[in-house]
Amino acid sequence: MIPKRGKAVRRLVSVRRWFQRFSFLLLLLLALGSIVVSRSDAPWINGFRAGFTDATAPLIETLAVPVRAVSSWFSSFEDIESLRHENARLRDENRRLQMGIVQAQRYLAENRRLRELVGAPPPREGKHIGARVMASGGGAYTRSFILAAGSDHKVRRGLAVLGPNGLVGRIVNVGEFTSRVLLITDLNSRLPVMLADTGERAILSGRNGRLAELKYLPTRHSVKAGARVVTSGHGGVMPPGLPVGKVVTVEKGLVLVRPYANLNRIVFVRVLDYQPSGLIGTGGGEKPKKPAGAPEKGRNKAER
Amino acid sequence: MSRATLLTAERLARLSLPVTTTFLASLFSVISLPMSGYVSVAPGLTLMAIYCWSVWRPLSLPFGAVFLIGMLEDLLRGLPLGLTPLLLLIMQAVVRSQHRHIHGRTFDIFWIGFVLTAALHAILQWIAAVALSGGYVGPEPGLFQLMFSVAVFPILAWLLLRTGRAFRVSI
Repeated sequence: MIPKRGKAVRRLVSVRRWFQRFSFLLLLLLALGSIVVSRSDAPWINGFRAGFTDATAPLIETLAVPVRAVSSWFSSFEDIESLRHENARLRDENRRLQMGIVQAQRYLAENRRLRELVGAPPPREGKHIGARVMASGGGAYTRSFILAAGSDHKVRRGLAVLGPNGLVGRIVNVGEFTSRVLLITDLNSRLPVMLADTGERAILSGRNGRLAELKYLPTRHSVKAGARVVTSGHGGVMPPGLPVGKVVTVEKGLVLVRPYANLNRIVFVRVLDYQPSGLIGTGGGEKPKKPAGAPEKGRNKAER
Repeated sequence: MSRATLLTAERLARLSLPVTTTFLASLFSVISLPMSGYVSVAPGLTLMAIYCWSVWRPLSLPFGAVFLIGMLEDLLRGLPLGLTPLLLLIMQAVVRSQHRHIHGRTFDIFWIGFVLTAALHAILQWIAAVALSGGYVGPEPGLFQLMFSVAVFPILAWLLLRTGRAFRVSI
């Protein structure tokens, strides 16, 4: 027995030495292989990623406490300095918004009456799920967030994520307690949008910077700087009309959009659980009430 | 707790300090701060920790540990799995090969060494971004990140040095 054991130990030692000698090369090859495998975007990789983010979430949350305390201490100085300006700006904005609310309520009532008149179903509002940004995913060349809300909070892949002023991105990976948001400025983000005033459709493509680019616009478009960009609702995951951003540059076929949401300073977001009409068996979302006098047959046709 | 157990625990902590601090630096690097533009320029804390330990005690941070920490970062950041370990392993090997030129010299040389390491890392990261995106990607975010990392480096290096000395690690 003893010689056999000695032989095994010697073999183990030689394997260990061999591994130590070539570990660098082996690990490099393993890393390269992992890149190739992960590029396939297999569901098990996404599942593994989501599970791992879930598992490390408590640790990240704990480490973030002192970091955020120091950060908020520094930003409190910034706040004191700019408090007077901010107050004046907010008062002004509040006055304008008060006027806007009265006008919006009038339009809303008018819209409801007109919808009843033509028998159109009311637009689906969807449900909102509040979530906190837990960690900044991505890096220099990617833009994503990790949210502290997952499938436990009914977050699903593909849902729209909104900031205080507009669209932030969409959910790309969901764990039990966490989920990942791909920002609209990420290089891989493609979002069907339209111009709010003219209705011209386009695709909003991320550029990894502060601005995103409008692509596939009609050849003779009438886009001007200052035009509002909203979601078109194509693809069915996002409702039409969500505010996305404002056109800031139009030159030589390049149309750049600045998102309404300040993607660098977001702390809380809303995940919009929206179920478009016409999809069967997707579950969730709120059922629209049947409008008074709407012909059943006609409505079904429209939904199809 | 007996004295022997305490000594063993202290020895274990000392041995695992480079790996533990690099792992913590990696986790800290994904914490989001509500600072304008922070996400795009967040400093490469993991690279800093790897650089420091590879200069001070090259063998205390094994390639396997760097590989695992890099994988962890990819999982958390949503990057293609293997990308960060690939870059970090290359940088670790480069720093190890230059260890004798940097170790024991003045802080200026130590810092310049990091500037060169971070610059090489930024170039490789940009090449990887272009290769993986399949189109041209501007190098600006990488450059800003490099500048921020170079500025933050002395603070992290000082913290690691203090931690190492507190655990009586010979640096």
